[in-house]
Amino acid sequence: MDNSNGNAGILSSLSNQLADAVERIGPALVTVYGRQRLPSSGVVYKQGLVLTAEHAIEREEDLSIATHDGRKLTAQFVGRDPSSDLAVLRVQDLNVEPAQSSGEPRVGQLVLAVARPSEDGPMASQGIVSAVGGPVRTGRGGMLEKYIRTDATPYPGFSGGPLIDTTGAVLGILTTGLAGGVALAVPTSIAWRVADTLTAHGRIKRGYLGISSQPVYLPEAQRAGREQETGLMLVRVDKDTPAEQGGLLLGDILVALDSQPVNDVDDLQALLNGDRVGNPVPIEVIRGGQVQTLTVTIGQRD
Amino acid sequence: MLSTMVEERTIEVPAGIISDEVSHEIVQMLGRVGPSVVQVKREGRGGGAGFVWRSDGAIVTNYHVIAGSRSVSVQMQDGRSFPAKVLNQNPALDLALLKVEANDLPAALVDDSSKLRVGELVFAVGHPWGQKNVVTVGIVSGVGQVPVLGSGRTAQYVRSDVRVAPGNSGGPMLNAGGAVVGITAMIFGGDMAVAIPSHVAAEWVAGLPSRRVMLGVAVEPVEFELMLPVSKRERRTAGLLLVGVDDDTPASRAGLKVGDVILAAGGRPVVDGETLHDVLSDNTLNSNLQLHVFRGGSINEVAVDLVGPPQVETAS
Repeated sequence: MDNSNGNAGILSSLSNQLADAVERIGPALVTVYGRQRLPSSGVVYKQGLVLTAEHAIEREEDLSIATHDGRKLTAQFVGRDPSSDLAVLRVQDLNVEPAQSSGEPRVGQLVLAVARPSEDGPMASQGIVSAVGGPVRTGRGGMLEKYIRTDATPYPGFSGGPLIDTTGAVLGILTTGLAGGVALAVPTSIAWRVADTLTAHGRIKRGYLGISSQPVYLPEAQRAGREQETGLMLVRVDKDTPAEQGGLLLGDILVALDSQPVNDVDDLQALLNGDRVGNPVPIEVIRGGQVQTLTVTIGQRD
Repeated sequence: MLSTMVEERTIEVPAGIISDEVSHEIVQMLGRVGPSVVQVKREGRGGGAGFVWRSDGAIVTNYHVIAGSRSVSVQMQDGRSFPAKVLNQNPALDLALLKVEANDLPAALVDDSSKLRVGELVFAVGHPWGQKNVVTVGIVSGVGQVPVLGSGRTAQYVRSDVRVAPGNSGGPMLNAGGAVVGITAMIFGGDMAVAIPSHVAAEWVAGLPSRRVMLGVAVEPVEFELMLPVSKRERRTAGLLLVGVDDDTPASRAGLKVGDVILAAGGRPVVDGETLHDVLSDNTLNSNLQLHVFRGGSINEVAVDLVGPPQVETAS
């Protein structure tokens, strides 16, 4: 038999590069013990800080992680954000070099889903970036501005592990908890920012108005020249809330916030993000067939 | 037309269809390995894959592909079909070694799987659902230990995300160089395959007898009441009754006769043909096998010389 496969071709180079990528991310991969069932994975994103999947942290005490070199360390709960399915843990004496973050994901690029679900070492599966999409409702009361979809197989225990490029840099944090078992990755640009906020505040700030509303169809005559077909009719305005203080009235039809159209509750939720908390923003309502612009200072949801 | 010589076989690649180098190399590699991949069929239905281990007709497949079969056939990619003997089998490792009468088979290149790295590219070749020579690609997802059913031991495994299905069993898992690094063994719902590392298979094959060890007897399990000479008490005993002793075999030369009952071999009680087979397999390094034989109301020790002419390639 021809034994001459020594002249490493491009196929062997590719194979080696994939294995190198897994090896490079390996030390930053940890096993996270935060739930009854099998452990999950996490990635050291900054010195002493582990980013993992929020849904795999079922308790906030008695948390621990296992490192690439077999150490089992106690982990402190730092914060969680269900809407992006991310949580941050702090680990004393971790002494692990944080993972590198990659650039923007490109559809079609080769990726590896990597994790450390057990003591048997790192695990990996391969695929490509199938889609970069968003914003998407996560079904957990939040919006994700951007997500990466991949066809790499998410094995049990892969949630919280990174999706990496062929250099071992992190493109996103993998989770099956956001879209009913489908493997999505929260892009690094969002994940790192969420993690920083969680580390600083323990949670993600969400805006608050103090209203209850109901989507209504806008007859053309009532659109006051606007193009959108629906708006949100206020069916309650709570006392001593940003909405009341800003002059919103029962029966107003909210059509825009900060110059962005509001067609439904999801639009409103997406616009009430942490960045607008504490800021006065223009809110357009239809009142008596006329568009009126009010200024409301967005509060913070507890 | 782009043509490439591979082992005196010419692969014609229409220009323009394969424009990238990775695809080109995959096609070449598979062209090189393909002839070593066989289909293993057993009587009735079912079967799996296997590959040529040595050019002398030694084929490796999974134990579960041939389990319980007396007649197995091996089909080569070039259309040739051979009846195969099951030379050896190991249910715990899920490995079987077959032998066909041929001396010119294209042996697969086998690599040392102990050096496998997570992330490496792997290719599975097999016959999922009977569809011949299907190739799937993935990476090594993990390496580790899995418990061996009913043995309390563990065995090494290679996990991979290649897509496989029944019919892939026994087939090779290849690395980027086209060398066998595993034998596809267990299949979990499509996107998880577990393979036996090639170095485990290589160690197993290397530890097998180079020649078939045989006694040259036909046996039947029996149970009877044995009067123990010391305690004078009866004890229920199982053994193997010799119902045939072939001429010019280790058994006949050692003076074994029809009607003798083998109670123990190499110090191990022998209750069925399997046990005797195991003892013979384990005993290949020693040429002498000590038997406890019940004859004429007493237990006799008989030394059998397992080496010596003629060597016949049949099981005991």
